[in-house]
Amino acid sequence: MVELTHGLFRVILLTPKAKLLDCRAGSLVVPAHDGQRGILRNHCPMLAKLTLGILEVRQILDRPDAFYIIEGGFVRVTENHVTVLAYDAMTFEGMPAERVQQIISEAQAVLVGKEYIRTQRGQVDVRRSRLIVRMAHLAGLETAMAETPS
Amino acid sequence: MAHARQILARRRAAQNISKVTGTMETISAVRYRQYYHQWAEGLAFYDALAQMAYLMFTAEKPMDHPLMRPPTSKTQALLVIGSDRGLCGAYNNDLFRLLDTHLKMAKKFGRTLQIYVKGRKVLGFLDHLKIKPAKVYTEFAEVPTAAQANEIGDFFLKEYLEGRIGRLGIVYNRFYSPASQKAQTLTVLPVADLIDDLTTRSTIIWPWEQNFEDFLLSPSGEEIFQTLSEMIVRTSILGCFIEAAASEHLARVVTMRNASDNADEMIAELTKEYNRARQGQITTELLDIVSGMNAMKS
Repeated sequence: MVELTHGLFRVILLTPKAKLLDCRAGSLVVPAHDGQRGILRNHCPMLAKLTLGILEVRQILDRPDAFYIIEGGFVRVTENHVTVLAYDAMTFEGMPAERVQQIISEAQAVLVGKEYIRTQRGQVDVRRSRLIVRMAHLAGLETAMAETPS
Repeated sequence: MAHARQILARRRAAQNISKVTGTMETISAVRYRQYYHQWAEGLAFYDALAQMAYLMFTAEKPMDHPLMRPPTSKTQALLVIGSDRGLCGAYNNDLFRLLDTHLKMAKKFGRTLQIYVKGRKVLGFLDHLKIKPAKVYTEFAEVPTAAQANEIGDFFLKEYLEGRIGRLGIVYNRFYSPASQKAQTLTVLPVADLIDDLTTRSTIIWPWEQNFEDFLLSPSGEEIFQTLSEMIVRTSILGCFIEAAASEHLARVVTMRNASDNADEMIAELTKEYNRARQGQITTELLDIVSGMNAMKS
């Protein structure tokens, strides 16, 4: 992959219950209402509505890339400061490995149809399960991806 | 003076009370720290939300949206957030006083009040006044999840937009800081009042040079405003629940600490009294023995 050399900008991820991220990053992909949007340094001022999807923060200074499933919200870009406001966000970071594996396994079970009946009753969110599996892939949890359906 | 055994029984009772209040203090202290952390971490979110609202309000072309228009209905919805349990000092009484004021005002100005309740203590108070609440929230313990808060917010937004309610207020104990909490009514709808409150308490209003017109908007300004208003209402409701929970647990920590201190004081007093009674009993017994021996000698 070609490394981006445009420089860093500040990224802040906020939810009503926590400040989940405050760092300097090289690139950002947000799940906008009309599709994914990439943001680099010197992006024009922007206000965009976000939807349920994966927020990808890449080339973070002094730490690995970060991924979050966010439940909709807003992104505001001003003078190389990107603020993401989300209703709620979920990440594998800081979670015990067993719990991560459990979440991924459950999501995979939903996707292969094992939880079909529960899904029909509206207890399991298929879209969310798909995002969990995708985030596991992005975060490099390859072992968890071994059983992922194509 | 009471008998030593009676004093011992009273001391045991005081010790048991001290244990219970001490445990309750510890539990509430843990929960308070958890909610305080959420409140403190959430401040940046509400600041950012206030900045976005400020940005939209300072647009050259003012926003014309149903949520900004004056209310048409004379019905007022009140969401009262109280506690399920007591032993938290004046926490609930302050809310009841405020609720009483709302009831009197509604009666005076001919408004209809719809009361939505969280907390068994509030329900008890309404039962006492023979008022039937419009809804009681029992699906969550203290603070709703983001999805549940969204559901509550959406319900009130729909009621407002369809003209069934003209105003929504949340009566709760606001957590200003660990040193200051106060019962108050936060006006959530019309949304302009809420934005006014948000921007007033925000630490930084707008630190950037750009105006609203400089921004690339996706989707249109009206849709962004609609979504932003929804977010402000939904997250403010969640924020109120978090603040109420933090205030409740802090009130309980303070009350239980005072109760523990009082119980400890009482235990110390009873110990002194018991020692005096025991000493008196020993002296009496010794005197009995000595006088008995003297009687035998003579």
